[in-house]
Amino acid sequence: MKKLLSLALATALLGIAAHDGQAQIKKYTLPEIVTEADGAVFGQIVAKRVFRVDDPVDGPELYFTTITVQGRLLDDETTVSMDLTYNGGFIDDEHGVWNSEAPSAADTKIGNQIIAFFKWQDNIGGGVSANAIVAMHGGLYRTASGGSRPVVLGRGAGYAIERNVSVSNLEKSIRQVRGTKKR
Amino acid sequence: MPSFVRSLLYGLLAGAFLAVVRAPAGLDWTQFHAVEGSTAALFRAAALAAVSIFLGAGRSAFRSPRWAPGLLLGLAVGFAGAGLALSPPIDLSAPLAGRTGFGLALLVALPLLRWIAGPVPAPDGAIEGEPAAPRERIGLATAGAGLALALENLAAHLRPFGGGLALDDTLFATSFLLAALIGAAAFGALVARPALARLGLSVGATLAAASASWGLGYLMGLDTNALWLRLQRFGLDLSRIGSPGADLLLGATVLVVPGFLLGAGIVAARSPTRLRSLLLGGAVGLLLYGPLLAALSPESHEPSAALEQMRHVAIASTLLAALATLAILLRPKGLAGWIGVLLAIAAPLASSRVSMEHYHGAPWYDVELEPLAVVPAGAGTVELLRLPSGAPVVMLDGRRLTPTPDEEEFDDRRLLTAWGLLPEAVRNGEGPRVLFVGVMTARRADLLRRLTKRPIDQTAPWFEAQRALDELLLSDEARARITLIAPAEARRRIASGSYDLVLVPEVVGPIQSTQAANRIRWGVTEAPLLGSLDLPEGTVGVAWVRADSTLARRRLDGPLLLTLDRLATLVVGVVRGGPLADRSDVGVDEEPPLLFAGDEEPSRGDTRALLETIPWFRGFRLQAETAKRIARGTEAESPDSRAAHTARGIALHLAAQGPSSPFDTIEETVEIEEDALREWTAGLRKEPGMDPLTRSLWVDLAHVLTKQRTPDLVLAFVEPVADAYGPWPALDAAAARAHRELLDPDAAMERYERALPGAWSNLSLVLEAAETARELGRPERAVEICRMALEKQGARTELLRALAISLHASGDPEADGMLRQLLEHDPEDEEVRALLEVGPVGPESPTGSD
Repeated sequence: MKKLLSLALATALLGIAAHDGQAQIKKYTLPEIVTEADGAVFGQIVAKRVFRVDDPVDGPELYFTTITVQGRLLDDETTVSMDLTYNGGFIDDEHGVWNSEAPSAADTKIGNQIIAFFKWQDNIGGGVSANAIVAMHGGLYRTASGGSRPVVLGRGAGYAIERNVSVSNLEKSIRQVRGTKKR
Repeated sequence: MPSFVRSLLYGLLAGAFLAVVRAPAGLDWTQFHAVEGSTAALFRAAALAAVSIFLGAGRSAFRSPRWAPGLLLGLAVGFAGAGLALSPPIDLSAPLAGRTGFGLALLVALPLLRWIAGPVPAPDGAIEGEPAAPRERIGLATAGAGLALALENLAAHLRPFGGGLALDDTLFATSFLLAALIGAAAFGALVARPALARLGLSVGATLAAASASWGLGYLMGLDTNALWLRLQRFGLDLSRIGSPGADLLLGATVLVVPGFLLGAGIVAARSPTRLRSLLLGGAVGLLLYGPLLAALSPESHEPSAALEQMRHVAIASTLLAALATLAILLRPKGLAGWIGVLLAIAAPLASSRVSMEHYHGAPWYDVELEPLAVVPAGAGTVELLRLPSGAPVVMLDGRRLTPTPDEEEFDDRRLLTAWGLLPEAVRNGEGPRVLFVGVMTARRADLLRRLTKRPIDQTAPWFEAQRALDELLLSDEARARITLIAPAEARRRIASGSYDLVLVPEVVGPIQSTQAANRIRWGVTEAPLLGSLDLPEGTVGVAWVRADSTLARRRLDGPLLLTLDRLATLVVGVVRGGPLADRSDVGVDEEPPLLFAGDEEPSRGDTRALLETIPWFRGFRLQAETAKRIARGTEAESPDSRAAHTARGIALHLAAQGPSSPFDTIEETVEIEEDALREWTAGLRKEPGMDPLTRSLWVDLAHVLTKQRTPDLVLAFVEPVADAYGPWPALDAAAARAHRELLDPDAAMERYERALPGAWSNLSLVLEAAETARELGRPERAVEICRMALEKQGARTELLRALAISLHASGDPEADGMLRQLLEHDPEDEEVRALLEVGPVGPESPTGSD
């Protein structure tokens, strides 16, 4: 519980110190995040779990959240079921840590359709290797579809996807960037 | 039965009796959320006197030399057991805690206590150690009065450190009783000497009074950092204020020394008759606390003046106990006697040295809160605190009595909903005769002034402090129409049918530390007893109670009103009296309130689970319990009605709510449960027309879903309601925004056109509509919208800017001049600069990438 306070206070202070109460994550344009990431997945969150790590180097009570996304890669339409991991989360009401940079609970609800940019990291902390979401909440976007085509909900200025865009158009943009990169 | 076992049983029963028999809030309309000091004191004094009656040397229970530890052990266990078990999970406290209940409890407890104590033996000479001189008995009683005053002074300022529940008071008191027990056990051997019998208890009480003053000084010296350091040493933190661990720690910190001293004194006394005198004096002391506060009441309400008053009460109480001790020790015998005299002289001097320099408002909160005024009253300490946002709020023993600025619209809603219950004939004309029980804010006064032309009566259980509050919060003009009357007078006027409407606003729990100072959270509170709140014919009473209180564990019968603020906070209006407005006989434009029913069976929740929950999580659980009971009761009362579906939807919705990240926005903290939305939709169809709760539910839902950016849910649930009950600007606007999110500006524009006629004063709606019109290549329509809005709203910069951009898009030459003026006004406006560089063009490129 003591750790909860210190960790939560630390992250709370991070949140308070950030501009407009938003976390200070790295700003990306779409080409930048596509270049940085290993890939982007479009799919549904089918599972979510939080786990704790006590690491001799990074310290005890490190909490991580892993979401399982079933869908397809936007680069090449490969069908995938993949785990994406980020720092933060609660294993029960009292044990865990809030992270102002992490995707929100609303964004990572089971059943949500999302787009996420991911990159494999050998150590995201505590010796944990995983496909990490690039730029934390800046790399995960919800989609919505009231009619025929799903739309990605942009997050505003400074984010890789600033404005709403259809998933199909986003896909085209991503492939364009990848194509340019290969050249 | 062995004497020690009798003394233990006596203590058990006495402890249970003291824990359970107290004046609860809800005794009557004027004491709904709090009890007047005099009423609370009377109950507790009577209970203390009742358990003292059979304390007599020679009775079977007190013949054992170990009667004192036995009694104290029984007291601690009985008090804690009864206090924690019977409050609030099981509503047995209801029949026991009211005036009638008190009488019944006495009828049961007194004979039992008498039987356990055993008969008084036939007199055969003086009983060893029995105080013979009246001077000693009177002295002990006076010392008891002094000690009670000192402890009451301390308790008044310890209470806000609890979690807002009666359980917290029980734990504080238990820590004191345990300390007394330990004091008796640890120091008993030292002090159980005949030489100390005459002076031990009075000296112990005097020193306990002095140490209570030091405990008070310690409490008042705690700032946020000091409190955190104290808690941290025991593995706790500020978020644990209100948890059993924190209660026992803080209780023990300030009460352990008084407890030790009293426990040792009781053992030293040897005779229970001495203890009886002390306790009877203590009962008198409880009754004297309110008058003493009034006598020492300062002119100013500055926090520093309140601190001075506390010091004066502490000194006076210690002095009283000391003088009583000196009177007993008029001719001191031996070294012990002289030491007793010296200690009795030193005690009040020590009390006078207690330093209280700075009044810290709510030190358990993450940042220092500035108290603007402090007025101790019999019902509790009233504070006017400034929140970090700058807004002032009124607190009573740490519980909030007034709305924050973002709650004021919901406070209005509750007042209006209650007013809507009155028959049309009462509402119209001069308006209703109103009694308001609580703190009158400027906004409440203003709204009431619009609803009735008659003068408004106001009262409150913290009556002594209310005049000062009215002067601080209200203008002279507002005060002129409000008559502040004492609770007793208000009760008399209620009984005589002087009012059409009795209104009691809700009370909110204490401020909570949540490790994130950018969001304030409020804890749970003890719900009032919903006893007989009878009203004469022609008087309607509505008392609002937060559902995140122990309301779930109360009898909950009778008609109820509900409000659900921003889909997060359920507040229940307890309705009594009548006649109520007939829903079938109202005008087409009226929306009479929907009535609900509770079920009479209190929820038998798990006390332990509640105590183990982090305090600021408790509200979610309690609120969900309350909502479930209301859903059950309403379904039983009026199956398949709008009220039944609405209540069921609210229950489902609140069952899904839980703690959220402090980085979430208010809207993001709301969990959406689609089954709840289906129930609300079903409920709509059951009756024609609207009611205030249904209307607010859908408006709040539209707002929350829009802010959460769930356009699919808006289109699935909100848009059909807008179609069926429109035009409804709030819902049409939400549907429009949802269509824009989904990159369908045509559908969005249709919705904006429906919304605009009723929402020209809504700036953001107008700007969105104009932007959408431009996106559709209809800049002329955008120009029309902006011009109409300018007529309604006046020359607002944002509207002028939108007009200029729309004119530019339509190729109107007037745009150029307007854009240049805007750029002069704001040289950083990149969009306007870009338009000037580009020159007049056709339709604007779409907002989305598509």
